[in-house]
Amino acid sequence: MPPSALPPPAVPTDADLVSAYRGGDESGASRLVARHAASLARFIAGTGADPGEIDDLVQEAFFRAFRALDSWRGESAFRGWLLTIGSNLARDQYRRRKGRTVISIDDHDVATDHDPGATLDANEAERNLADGLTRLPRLQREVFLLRAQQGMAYEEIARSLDTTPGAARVHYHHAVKRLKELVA
Amino acid sequence: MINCELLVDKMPLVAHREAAWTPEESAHLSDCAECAASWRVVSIAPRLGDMIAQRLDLPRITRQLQDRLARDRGAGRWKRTGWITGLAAAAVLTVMVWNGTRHVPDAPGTATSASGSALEVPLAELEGLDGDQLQAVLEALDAPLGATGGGPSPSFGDLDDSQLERVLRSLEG
Repeated sequence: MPPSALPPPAVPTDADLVSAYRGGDESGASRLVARHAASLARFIAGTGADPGEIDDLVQEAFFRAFRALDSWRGESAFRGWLLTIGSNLARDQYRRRKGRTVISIDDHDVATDHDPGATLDANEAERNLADGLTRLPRLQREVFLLRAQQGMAYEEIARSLDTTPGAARVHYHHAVKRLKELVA
Repeated sequence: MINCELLVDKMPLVAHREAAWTPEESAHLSDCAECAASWRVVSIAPRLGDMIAQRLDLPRITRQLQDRLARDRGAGRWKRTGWITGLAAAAVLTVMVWNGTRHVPDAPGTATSASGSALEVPLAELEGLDGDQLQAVLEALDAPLGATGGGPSPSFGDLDDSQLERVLRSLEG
């Protein structure tokens, strides 16, 4: 049989990988890290965490998640649950810094576009948005990040933040309205 | 007729390329300053933190994480063993003390607390609002930031079935 005729290998779900890890398969953890670390890092960065501590926060969030797998309700998305843990860590870090937020400069200084002018505009817009996010109340900021940055549905956001989809939707609209004022 | 509120709801889907603007929605984005400003904000969000994510040292994170988890599992086994040993020692001590003392009436029972310690995320007052109240809050948000082209107010009567379905789903909580 030619290789192209073989059915594509099934991609294990997060729940499959969690089950594998709980069953003693270490690669389940590695694959979950590979799958979600970037999203987690972007989310933590969006909360205003110190960019120099993102690697450590990501590692700590996964560590706490794997230790607390028994408390993961399988009906909610693993990623949402992980991001909530990351959010709590970022909040703790913020308290340790006594409220000082850090806006990454180097994150925006690397030109990746062929049009330097467009890149500068895009970088400035991202910087303004990052700055604006730090001025939002925590729940608005997190709902906005989960919805707009992570692309999560209101229902999933509600499960992650222990609120209702309707309330999450209102927080999202509040956040967009305030960010328009702050970023403009 | 385009409902601005629903368009803002849809923006993350388009920003993540899970949906596309219809010609009518595209035209609205060109005409409505409020929606255009919302789109500028939402469309940037998926890129936020990209460079930080690209610089993650994933092999190091994974290696250190697995080391920590392995140590933690080892410590957990030790703790379980220690707990059993401690319990046995406590039982022996109890018997010894019991045998060495006279029986006295029981002291009032000590209350034990087994309340769950689930992480509580602080919720805003929105949590307690019903669908109509949440909708009223949303409508209050619709006030424009500045003077806009000023199209007609969005109305549920203008929505098609699928849009109404989405509103209902969102409001039902």
